[in-house]
Amino acid sequence: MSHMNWNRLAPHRPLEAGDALRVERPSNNAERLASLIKAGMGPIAVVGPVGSGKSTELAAASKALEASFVTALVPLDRLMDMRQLDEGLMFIHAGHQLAQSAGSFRLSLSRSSGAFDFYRAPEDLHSQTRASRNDLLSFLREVRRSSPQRAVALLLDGLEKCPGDIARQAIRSLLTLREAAELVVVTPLDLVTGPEGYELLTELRAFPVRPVPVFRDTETDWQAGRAFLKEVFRRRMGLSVLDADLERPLTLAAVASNGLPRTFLQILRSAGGYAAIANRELPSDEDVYAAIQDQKESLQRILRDGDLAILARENGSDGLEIPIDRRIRLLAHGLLLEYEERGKIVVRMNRLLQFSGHLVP
Amino acid sequence: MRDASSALWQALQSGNPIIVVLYEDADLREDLVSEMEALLPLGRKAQRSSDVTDVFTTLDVFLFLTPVDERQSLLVLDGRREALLDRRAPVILLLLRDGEGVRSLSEVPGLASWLQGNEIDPYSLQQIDWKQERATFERQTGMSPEGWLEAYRAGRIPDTLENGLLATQAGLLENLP
Repeated sequence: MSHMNWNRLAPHRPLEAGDALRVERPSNNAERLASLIKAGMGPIAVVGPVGSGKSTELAAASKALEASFVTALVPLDRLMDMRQLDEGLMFIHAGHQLAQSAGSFRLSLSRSSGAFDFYRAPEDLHSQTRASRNDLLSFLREVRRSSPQRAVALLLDGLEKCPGDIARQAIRSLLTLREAAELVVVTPLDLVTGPEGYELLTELRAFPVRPVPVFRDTETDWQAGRAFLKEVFRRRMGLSVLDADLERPLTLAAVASNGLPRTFLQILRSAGGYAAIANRELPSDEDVYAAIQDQKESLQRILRDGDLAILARENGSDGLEIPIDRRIRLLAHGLLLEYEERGKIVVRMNRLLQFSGHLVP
Repeated sequence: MRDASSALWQALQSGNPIIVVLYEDADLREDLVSEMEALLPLGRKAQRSSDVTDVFTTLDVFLFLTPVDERQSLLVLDGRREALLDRRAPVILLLLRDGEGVRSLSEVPGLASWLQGNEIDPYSLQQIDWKQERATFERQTGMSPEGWLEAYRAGRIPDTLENGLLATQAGLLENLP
């Protein structure tokens, strides 16, 4: 086996649209998301716990929409400080991404003197320059009218990282553009959950990206979930095949991850580090368990009083008895995870919290 | 083996743009930073700072960040965490154990998820069972931590990566009661 470079797992590195490293999920969220947009069933709010693969699925959906829409994937969180989201700057970035897509389609858009120049890179603009809603709306219509597809889709990532009120205001502004473009927005869970969520849910369709199934003791296609995660590993590591010796550490990491791709990669990255210290090419059980213990301790640090009792009590239920604020917080952190089992949505406590030193694959 | 030095070493080498290291008090923090500097790859630059904006400007150095306002710094890092991907060496964010920063992690799910598994608590790791750690060290090297360190410092043991790690381990064991 060639030397293993565990840094290639890069758990934080987002995938681009059309990235060859992307693996189709068992539930193929990206294709379903694209189908909803093509069917005119937007605007859509993509929601899910941290590390579940929302950005990856959004990028893949963007690629799947390209034949039918001029598509702009706007990774706001890579372009600006999401704690100080500025609507005018958000419009500039959305318009600029769209201008780049329009450029790739060789559209001949007029660049009239009165219009905002979305072709200029935002970093080349004066720091105080802002685009208005009218600027963006006009540009969206122009692109739509001039494109062969006669349709535009804006896919915005990163708003889930904003403080709630700022995200709500930004989404409200974006929704006023829906006549001119199909909209997909990664959204904070609290904006589409509980009594306060009803308001936005009358205008947005929630689209969850959940962890993949990995637990043998649930009535799910856990084999498909584990196979998906192992394929993610194979591609990121650049391996042509998975060596048989990797089967056990990958299975342990898949189970410990609860089906969250980022956690799966984090565990293997750390386990690989522990193996390297001990001069081992591949992680032993001890290395994987050390990495899992690191994960468990991180999760324990974000627990608040009473969380564990509620997590244990509601494990396997629909979770609706949990007070809404606490439920949102537990779900957002991935301490509580939603799974689809036998056609129903159930919540389960993140099993990392119950890790006691060894795992049964 | 999951001990303080191996956890620190693997986190520093992990390629993660940010890791958290918890410290017990300001005095011990200085020792901790010195120990981590000794674990860095040869020739890599390190810098100490208390200004969170250095995270976005000094991209090539191992940045040991001890913010004055831990909570506010976490909020800044969370809001701009995608910009951390531009870093070519990690930020080592030093937070007080059970302090404001650690308590604020529950306010920043995104950043907390990035940090998951990369929050090293050397104090807690040292508490696991130092007698056993000492016995393991002695079994592994055939020497006491004090004796091994003396030989290492005198140059009788070669300065390799593996021995560098053992030196850190021995240093931690030597300081224990």
